[in-house]
Amino acid sequence: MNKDTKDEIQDSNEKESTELNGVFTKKVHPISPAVYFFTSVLNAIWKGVYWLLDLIFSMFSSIFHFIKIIGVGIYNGAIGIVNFFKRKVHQFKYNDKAGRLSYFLFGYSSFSHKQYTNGVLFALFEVVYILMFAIFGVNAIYMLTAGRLGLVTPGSDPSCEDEMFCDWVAGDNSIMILIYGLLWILSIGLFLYIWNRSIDSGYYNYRIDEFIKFEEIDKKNIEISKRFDEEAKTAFDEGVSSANFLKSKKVEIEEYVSKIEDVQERDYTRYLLINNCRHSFKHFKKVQKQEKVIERLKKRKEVLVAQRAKGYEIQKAKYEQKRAAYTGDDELYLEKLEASLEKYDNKTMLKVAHSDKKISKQLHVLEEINKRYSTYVEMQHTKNNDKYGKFNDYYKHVANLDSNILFYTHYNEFKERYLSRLDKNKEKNQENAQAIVDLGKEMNEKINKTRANFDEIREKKKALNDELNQVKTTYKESVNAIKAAQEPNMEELLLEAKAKLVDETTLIMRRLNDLPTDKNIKLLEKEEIKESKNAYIRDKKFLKTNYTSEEFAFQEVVDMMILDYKLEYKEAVKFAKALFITEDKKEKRFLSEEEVAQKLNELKNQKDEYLTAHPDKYVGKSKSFIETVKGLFNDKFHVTILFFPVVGMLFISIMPLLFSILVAFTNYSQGHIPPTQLFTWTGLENFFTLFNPPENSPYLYLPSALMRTVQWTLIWAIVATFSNYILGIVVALLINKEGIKLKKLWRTIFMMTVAIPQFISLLSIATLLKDTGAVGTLYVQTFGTKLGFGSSTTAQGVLITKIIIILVNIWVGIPYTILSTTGILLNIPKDLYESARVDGAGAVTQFTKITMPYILFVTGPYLITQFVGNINNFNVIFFLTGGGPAITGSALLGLGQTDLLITFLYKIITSTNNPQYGIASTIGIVIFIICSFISIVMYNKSNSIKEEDQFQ
Amino acid sequence: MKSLKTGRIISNTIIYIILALMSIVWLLPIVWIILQSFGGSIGDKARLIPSEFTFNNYLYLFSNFTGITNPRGSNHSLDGYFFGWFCNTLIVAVLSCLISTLFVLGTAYALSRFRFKARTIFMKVNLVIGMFPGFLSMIIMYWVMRDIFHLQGNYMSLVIIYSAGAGGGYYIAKGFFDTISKNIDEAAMIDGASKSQIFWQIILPLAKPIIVYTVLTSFMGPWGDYVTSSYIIGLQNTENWTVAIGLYQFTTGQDIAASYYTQFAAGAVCVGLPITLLFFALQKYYVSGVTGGAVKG
Repeated sequence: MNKDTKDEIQDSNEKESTELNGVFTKKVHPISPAVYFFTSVLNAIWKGVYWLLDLIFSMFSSIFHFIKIIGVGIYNGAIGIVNFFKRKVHQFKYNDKAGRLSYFLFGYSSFSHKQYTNGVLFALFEVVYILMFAIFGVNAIYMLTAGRLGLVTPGSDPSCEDEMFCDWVAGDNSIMILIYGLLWILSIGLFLYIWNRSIDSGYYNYRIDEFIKFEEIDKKNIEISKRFDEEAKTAFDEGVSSANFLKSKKVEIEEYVSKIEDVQERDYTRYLLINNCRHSFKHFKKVQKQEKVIERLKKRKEVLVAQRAKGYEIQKAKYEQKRAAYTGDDELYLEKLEASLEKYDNKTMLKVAHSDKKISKQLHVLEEINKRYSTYVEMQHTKNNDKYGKFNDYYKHVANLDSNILFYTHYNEFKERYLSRLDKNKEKNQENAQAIVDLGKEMNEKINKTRANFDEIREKKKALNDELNQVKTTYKESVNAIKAAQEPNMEELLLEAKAKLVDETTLIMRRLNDLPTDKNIKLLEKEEIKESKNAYIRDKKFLKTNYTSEEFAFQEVVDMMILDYKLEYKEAVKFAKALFITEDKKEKRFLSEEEVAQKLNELKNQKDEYLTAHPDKYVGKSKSFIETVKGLFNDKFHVTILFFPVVGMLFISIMPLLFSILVAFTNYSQGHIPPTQLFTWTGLENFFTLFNPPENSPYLYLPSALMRTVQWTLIWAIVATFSNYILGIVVALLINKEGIKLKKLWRTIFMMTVAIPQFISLLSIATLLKDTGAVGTLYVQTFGTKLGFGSSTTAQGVLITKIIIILVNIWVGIPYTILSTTGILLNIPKDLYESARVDGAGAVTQFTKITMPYILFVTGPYLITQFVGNINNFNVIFFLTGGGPAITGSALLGLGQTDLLITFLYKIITSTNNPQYGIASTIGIVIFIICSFISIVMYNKSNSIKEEDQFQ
Repeated sequence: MKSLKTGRIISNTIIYIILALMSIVWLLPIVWIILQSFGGSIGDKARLIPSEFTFNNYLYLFSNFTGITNPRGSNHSLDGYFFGWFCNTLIVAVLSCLISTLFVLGTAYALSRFRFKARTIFMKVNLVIGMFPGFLSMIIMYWVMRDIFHLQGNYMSLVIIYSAGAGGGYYIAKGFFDTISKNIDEAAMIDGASKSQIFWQIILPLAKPIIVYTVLTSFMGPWGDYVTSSYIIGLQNTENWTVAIGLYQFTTGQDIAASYYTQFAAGAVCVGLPITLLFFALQKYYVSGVTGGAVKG
């Protein structure tokens, strides 16, 4: 490149970069290199410190969050239990005899309401449970008193027959009690659940019996509750606290209630009204809070708008200044200048739009709150209707009759509507047809426009190419001319001509590169045309033109029924069809007035008959047994489908887990293995052994060894995770690069390590690398020394072993990364790369600035799980080295140099001569704490990143 | 223009060379183990290509039918067991694959389509359980299998352990179900289908990739597992071993490892070949499962 052009470009770059940040990635700083270096170092340090501080802060906030969650959970649980028993007391107080008996004799109320299947099931459960309790409970109590559970003293058991099992070692079998105890707690939970169901079904039956009475009380109190609401509103506005308001209201309520004679009604009314006051206060508070939020958002929006106006002015002034100062005719530069202004405008517009969106969202929430609000009494009323009324067939039948009566009383209205709408369809169909034609025109226009656009680009390209050729030919001609002239300064002239050529061609090439390639032009054009065609087809679907008059009218009637008479869609369709009678298959006719009157009469009679025929009308049924079973395959299908997995998890995952946590607080180990040698509670002794053992303990050096293992585990996890991740992405990029062939073959080769079971591939590699294996032998033959993989205890040997493990892990792990990132790589928008290339970014910059952030954003959670997975990566270490080389000096529970915490744990529990289950469980808890801590912190961090993105 | 083109050719060549080298590294151990399985003498372990080729290693593995025992003299206690182990592993893998596929798909469907009270609690608890090292529960599972199910040393206990807790691995399948539009469910519901009919007749046929993925992973897990099986079955119950325990003993067992290396290689080929073929036949689904799960997180 010519020196002058270079300078020119640099100059223009300098001008741009001082103000137009973010347009060009390549910046040239006008300050001196030393200062630049110093500031960037400071910047880097500050970034690091900031990151650290942020990390620490997020750690603390995660801990706080965790504690909060647990605290809230416990609090809610306690409140739930208290409320449960409160409700049971309430249900006992207001219940009939059968319902009260259901507390003790399960299913009694079901029997008295003729629900025999449910009753039998309830009763059966109770009998079986009591029998079980009788058998096992007595046995358990016997075992407690006979000294088989709990504290056991040394000596032999007199009732023992087999001598081998008679000599007890002193210990405390309470862990066994706990294990059985947990099972008992589970069974008691089941018992409580069934008990609850039995009581509830009794209570439902009672409520259904008394349904009319409750309904009347509800209706009676709607007026007064509304008055209370208004008073509560004024009190709230005046700033009276809810407690004070309740106090003053309670007197009034007591006065009102004392006039009621019936005890049950009095209590229910009091309950309704007091809750009403509480409920309205709660609602007002909610609304106030929401309004405050909206106000704050609005203020923020105002600030944003003001800032935007101000900033835009400044940017515009700068732009104009620069536009005036620029005298050259580089179109690209001018375009970019304009683009930067536009970019600023768009960015700030987006911010404002975002804030608008937020406000509308919160307004919607407020609307929802207000919409859902009704007085407590009304709410209770609808709840009762739902829960007790709609349960029974009686209610359904009457409701059905009611809606039929409604239809026939308004029959004429519907008929009129139908007739009046019959002619409307022609116009509508015409409108639709016209709209379709318009759409077609629009589509054609669009297509023509895109074609023209792309033709323009093609022409532009062609012109540029011609220009290029022109430049080349003139160059050749001038060279020939110079050579022919044979002047003394020929070489200089030649150089000059060449410089001119380079100068001109670079300018043209730059413009050419800005245009898309021929292939892309074709593709883009095709795509855009296809898109507009698709849009046409999609919009056309909504404008069907062949509606018949009947169909239009029919729809109108259905709409009317739904909107004006609040019928459900299905009902409305049914009734709209019932507008006509079809006597023959062809002919339809409306009902005559007499027929309508007759039908109405019939229905009314039916209703009266039904009402008189069922004096015990609200003695309804809750779901029958068959309905319940059917429900298990419909609305309650999740219960069916989750039952076995959850039970399995409970017994295979959760229960063993709880027990293993308990084991951490015992001395379960060699010499303490039941049934002949019991183990006992030792409190935190295992934790002390791990972190601060007493002087005479055999595990005196365990803390330092453990510290080393933890260190190695973390180093291993970090290195293994990131090496796999980054190298995997690199390989995926290599395979997916344009122009690379045989992509499928490469992928298949790498997939080999996923397909072959790990124990096979890793064991064979281990053999290959050992001193007796092929690679080990080769190493000895070439270097004269042993490789010592997994066996050499020198510092260098250990380091070699560790490095080889990591390399082998890359061998195993890369394919998974390739698998999971290939799709994402293909999804990265191509424009990003193109614009980066225009801005002069190289392959490395593209990788670090575009590829990595994009992939990290999508696969963040995957990376976290990978990290935790590597902390617990058992296979690689165990099959490759088995933890070796051994630690020289003291052999602590077989701990080796490359052991991870997890393989160490495995060694302890599978050791044949000294299994220390207690210490193993303690290590398990340590692993759990590390893993969960890392995951929580990382998840929180990634969440906060996401939120930040949303915020901007 | 010319220099651009040559540059591209150079860079592509470099990439081809890198990929070819990596492929060699990736395939070398596999090729080596296949060659070793035909190795005639134990000294071949130290060579890349065996000095003599023989088919006896394979015949030895199935000595129940072929009558070929260890060619290097001295009959060992492990002779004649391999076919049994192979059958055990096949039974365990197939059974636990069936059960755990049902569990995983059911759990994923329930969590994707139903909103019930314990849903979030279930998901949170599952997340926490996943962070606990699973080995610890092995101690307890050993007791449970011995004292409650009376299945100590029996490979059927492995089926329970592998499959009963499988419902916890629902994440990827749930991510897939979430992507199936709920409009389909609603349309079916209006037509009068119950939720169970929707699951069996509408969702499952649409979820073919994830079914294949779940079947494949839950088959591969038990097929290649050493840790759990060795602890639960125990080293004394030789006839109930799975192939993983047996092959591990071939390479590392005391006074076995020295002379059984080529037999191990033959066994590894026998175990690895079917699963590799299966994997590559169903690779398409596996890839879609993994990528779908990664994107959904």
